[in-house]
Amino acid sequence: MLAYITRRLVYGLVTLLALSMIVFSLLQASGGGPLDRLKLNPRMQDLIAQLTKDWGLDQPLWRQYLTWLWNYVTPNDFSPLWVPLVAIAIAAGVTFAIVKLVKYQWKGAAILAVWVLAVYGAVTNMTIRFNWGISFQGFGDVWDLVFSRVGATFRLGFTALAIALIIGIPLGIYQAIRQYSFFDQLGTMGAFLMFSTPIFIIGVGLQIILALYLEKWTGVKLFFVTGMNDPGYANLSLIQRIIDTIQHLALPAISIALISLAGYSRFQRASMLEVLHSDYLRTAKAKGLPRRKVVVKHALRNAMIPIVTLVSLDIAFMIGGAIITESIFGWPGVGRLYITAIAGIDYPVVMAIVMVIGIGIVAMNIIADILYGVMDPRVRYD
Amino acid sequence: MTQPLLRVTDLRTYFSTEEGVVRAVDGISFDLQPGERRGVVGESGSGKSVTAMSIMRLIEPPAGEIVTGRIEYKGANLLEMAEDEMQAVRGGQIAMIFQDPMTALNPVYTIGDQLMETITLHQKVSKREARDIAMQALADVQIPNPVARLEEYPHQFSGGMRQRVMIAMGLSCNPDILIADEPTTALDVTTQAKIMDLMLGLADERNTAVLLITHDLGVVAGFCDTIQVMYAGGIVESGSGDEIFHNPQHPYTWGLLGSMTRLDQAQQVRLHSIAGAPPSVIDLPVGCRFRPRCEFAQDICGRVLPPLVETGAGRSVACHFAEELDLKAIDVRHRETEAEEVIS
Amino acid sequence: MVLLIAFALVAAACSSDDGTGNETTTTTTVAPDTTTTAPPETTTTTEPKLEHPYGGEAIVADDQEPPTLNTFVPGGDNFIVSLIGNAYFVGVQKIDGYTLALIPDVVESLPTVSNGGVVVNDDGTMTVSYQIRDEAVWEDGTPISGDDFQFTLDTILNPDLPIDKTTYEDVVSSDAGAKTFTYTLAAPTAIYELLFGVILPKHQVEGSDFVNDWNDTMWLSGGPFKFDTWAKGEFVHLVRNDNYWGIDEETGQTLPYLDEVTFKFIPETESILNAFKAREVDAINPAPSTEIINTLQALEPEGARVEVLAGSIWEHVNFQFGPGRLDRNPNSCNDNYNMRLAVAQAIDKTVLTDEILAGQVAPLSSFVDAFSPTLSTKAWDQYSYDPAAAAASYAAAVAETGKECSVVFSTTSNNDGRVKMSELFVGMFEAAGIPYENDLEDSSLFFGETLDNGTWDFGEWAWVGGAGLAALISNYDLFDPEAPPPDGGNYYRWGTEDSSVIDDATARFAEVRDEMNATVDDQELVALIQEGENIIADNLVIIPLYARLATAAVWEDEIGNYKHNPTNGGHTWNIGYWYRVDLEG
Repeated sequence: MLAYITRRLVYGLVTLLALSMIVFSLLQASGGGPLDRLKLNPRMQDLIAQLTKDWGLDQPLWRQYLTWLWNYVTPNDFSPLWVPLVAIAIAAGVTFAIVKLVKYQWKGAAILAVWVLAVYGAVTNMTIRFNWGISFQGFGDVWDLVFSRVGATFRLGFTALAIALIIGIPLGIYQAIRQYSFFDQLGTMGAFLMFSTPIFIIGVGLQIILALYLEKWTGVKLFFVTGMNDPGYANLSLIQRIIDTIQHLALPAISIALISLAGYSRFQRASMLEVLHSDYLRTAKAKGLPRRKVVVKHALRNAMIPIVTLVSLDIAFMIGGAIITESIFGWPGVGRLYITAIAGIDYPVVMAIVMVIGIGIVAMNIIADILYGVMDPRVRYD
Repeated sequence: MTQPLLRVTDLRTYFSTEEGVVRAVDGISFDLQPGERRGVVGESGSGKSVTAMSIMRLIEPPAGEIVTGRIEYKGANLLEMAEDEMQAVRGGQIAMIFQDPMTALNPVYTIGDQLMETITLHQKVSKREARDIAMQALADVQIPNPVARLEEYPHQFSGGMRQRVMIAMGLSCNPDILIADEPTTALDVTTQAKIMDLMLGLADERNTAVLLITHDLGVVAGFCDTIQVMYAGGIVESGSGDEIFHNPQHPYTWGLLGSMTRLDQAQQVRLHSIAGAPPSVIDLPVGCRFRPRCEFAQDICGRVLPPLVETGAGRSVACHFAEELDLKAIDVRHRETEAEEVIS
Repeated sequence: MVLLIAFALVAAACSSDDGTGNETTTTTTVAPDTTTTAPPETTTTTEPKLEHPYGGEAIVADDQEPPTLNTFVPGGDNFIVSLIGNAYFVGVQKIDGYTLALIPDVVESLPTVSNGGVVVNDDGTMTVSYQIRDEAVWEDGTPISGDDFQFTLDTILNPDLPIDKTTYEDVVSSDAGAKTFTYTLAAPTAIYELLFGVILPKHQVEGSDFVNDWNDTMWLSGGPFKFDTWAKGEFVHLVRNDNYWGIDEETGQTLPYLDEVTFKFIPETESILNAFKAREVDAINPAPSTEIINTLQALEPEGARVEVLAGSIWEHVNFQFGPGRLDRNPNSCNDNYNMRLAVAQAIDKTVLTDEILAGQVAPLSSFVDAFSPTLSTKAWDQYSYDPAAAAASYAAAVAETGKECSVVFSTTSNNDGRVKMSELFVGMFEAAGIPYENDLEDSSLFFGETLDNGTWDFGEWAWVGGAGLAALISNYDLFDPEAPPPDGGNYYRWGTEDSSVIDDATARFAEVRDEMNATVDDQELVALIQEGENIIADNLVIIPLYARLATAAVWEDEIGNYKHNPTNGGHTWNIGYWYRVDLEG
């Protein structure tokens, strides 16, 4: 198991290295430079020359890349000795907690929660920082910039994920159990409608229906079209704060959730149907198990296995933020920053975000595989 | 004759598909006596498995439905039983073993979990007692080192071992009836006989009646007291094992016997196969369902469906010419030349 | 402030993705001289001479978020920084949204030659003097002084700081008093008008790390509002500056009226419109399109007010006079006046504005029209749409040149308006009997190689203008016979060395331009500007078509005193005067 994880980590690092090279080359090849904006003004020559030198843009590309790479992995304000230790502690902790969670359910959840809190406390108190560079657009330090947006992205992402899971999974299960019923057909139609509708239409459509029209019909402002909190949030009471947060969070979360939900319900339905038609489920019924127990104990556990991968990858992408949704709803997350950075040809920020997403995907893949093995005894690590 | 343990009367199980209604089981009746070993033989699609599933009430609407009939177990009609009562019967009094042991066990739970689940479901025992029973059940089916193997997952067992587990699971609650649906088909030949012996031996010890479903006449021949032959949803012939084997009265049975590998015949002979394919159970022919493939068919066979008629003690045949034909006299391998003479 | 904003607008236009990207280059336009100014807007403020209520909040939405709030450093040139800065920056001048003229901000009056604020010295240097308003103070009550000006100049000129030092580096001496600031430039230039647009509070900023300390927060406000919070990715929140020294001349009340102002950043235009409809925001200025204008105008019965104005980006068709035109069209007769006249008479500008801009604005009579209508001689009005006359002019051109003269039109193919224009031209030239052909290119090619090499015959693109005389003067650089590309901006190659047109007009124009750059007297400048305008029009170097639209919308039943400013002043130029209508009575 440990050997397996180590090997996966090595593969992951190689993947990330390749990813960084590809993205770096693509950024260079895409034409245009971060200083093009200034070139429109003929009186900016000195400034351009100075910035070109400061940002190392006059260096050969391989040197720019290596400089970036070295800076990216070099921590500031922090003894480098600690980094691998923390990484190992996190990896081991995740593995251990997941194994415990699946084996012992509630006890495992408690262990996981304590461990997450401990790591959170450790990471936040250690003030680990990496030298991810300075934004070419003038946003300042990239590490600070990216992490100032992570909170908003997580708030939106986890809410959407929770909605999608809480509704999507049971929906898929119910559809599978009542295959070909009216409800099943309705669900199928709804899911395909969600799939085929561009997210932009869903987002703007929700704004129009749930914010504009609903307000017109009811006369009460239920949801906000944009933003994460009211500017006067700090002056609100606790109850008002909660309400304000929900009012702002609802629309973007729902619009992301709708699409994930459609995916989850379809996937869960398919995998549940496969299990429902399996021989071992017939065995379970022939044993005389009540229907509910057949579904909950024998079908669900098996049908959930493939979903794990799907959800894990979704979490990885969530770290990168919902690019379009965040833009539509004026949500101050990483995804929106990413768009701004690309538009502004802001290499350090683009690279930082791409790599954070890449790291997330590699990490979540490994976690998904471990989880997969724990849930399905047939899987072996060798 | 004692009161039958199980009496099936005029059972009809239909499936609705896009092409039309499939009459998988179409009006069959039979009895099963306590301790009896009854073989149900037929080609695939003959309705033998659906019969078993109907008895277990595992036919799921809306796709499949038991249209009419009675299945009386100890005098109580299973078809009218409440679901929770039926659950007590399933696995408890009537157990079932399925064809493919590779997929019949849930891959994510240990063997012990799955065995003990059945035991605690039907017997009022503590967890520890259930564990002991499970261990004994594994020992009974001659699985070595049962204590350790309780903790193992199905994928750690071979096919034969898994089928032993299935048998252990089926018999762990000492059921009155064990329905075995092609229990050895998926296993290799050397294991087949061992498993069959083991299963029937354990059934005998418990005085459990066995309904053995198979397409292989050879399997039932050696192991069953009574045999019923099914064709296209109906029973075409039933009787004792010896009778069916040595004196087939239905051309289909006669054909099946001819297609059988007989280990007692030393010389290599060409195996007979029944010409044609079984009819689609959607568009059943009028009259005798075997008529299109029957080499003795007459006009009447195309018009009138022959009823299952008792032709002797515990012996029934559904053929208009059951009396006239002397099938045992015809060597099926020379039928091309001799068939006409017999009819005339 | 204005200078910075002028570049900012270019940046804004270029970073927006509506296809304006490469299609604009910096030029500037004159704001009318204060003595000749009359408000050009027919829309006058509806406010009666009533007391305006204090309190309340206004929310302004924009699709861009500033990378930094420091307007001096890279990234601070973004237009949104100026829009927000209107609420707290203090400087010498700002642009009046009603007159589009430069008006004084922190100084008593704008220095000119006539009022003695600008003096051209005998040694050829020029001295500019500012008289700072007595009442002007920073938000902490510290008076705004000449030292603050001096500190601002020193900061800009600090060689270690990445700040544009243009013109400031020509300051040879300066002198700061308590409420005065005087500086001398090495040579006379009208650019002085645009200097010191933003002043730094010395007592606070001095000693700080100027590049890194002022990205996320703002220095002391000298304007109506002061910085409160910046929720990254969401909004910048400002609150009333109780020490603001400005007063509303009409009511005599101290400014500002509002307690709070929030700038919300919403990247998607569609969402901005929805937020506006939901009244989550009070004022917006989206990039105009027919669809957006229609959407907004549909809200007018509910209390919204939509302002569709001619903006500072002006589109024009133009002729290539260099040899490269023959690569594109061997039958090009651009060197023949009658040919150019035929083209001018063949084009129906009204149809163009009707079809492309849905008739929201009138065509331009001159490029000066776009920002300084009162100053314009409307020099192109001498040419009117007349297919018959065009046919006659064309016949004359053919006779004079002995060529089968024709027109090959090139512009950017990835701009819907221009594609539409090329389609309309087909019919117009056909009606005049002029052989015509479209040969459009992707903007990256057209604004790159094609424009640099002058390998086009008849072209079309836009320039960005700005307010102020200095800005307008720089427009004339575009026709300077002494400034061919790549270093100069005379892409038309009118009168340049390799030009097919080198005559008295080009010679005189070169003189006019030189004179313009040597004087700072506003009277003289206006005369030169008008002479230059007439030369370009009379010789048909270009034909101005129309200014792109500038749109803004406000919930008029909520915010009073709102007036869109289509120049680089921006729609928040008078944010201190805004008040809550719903708090009245």
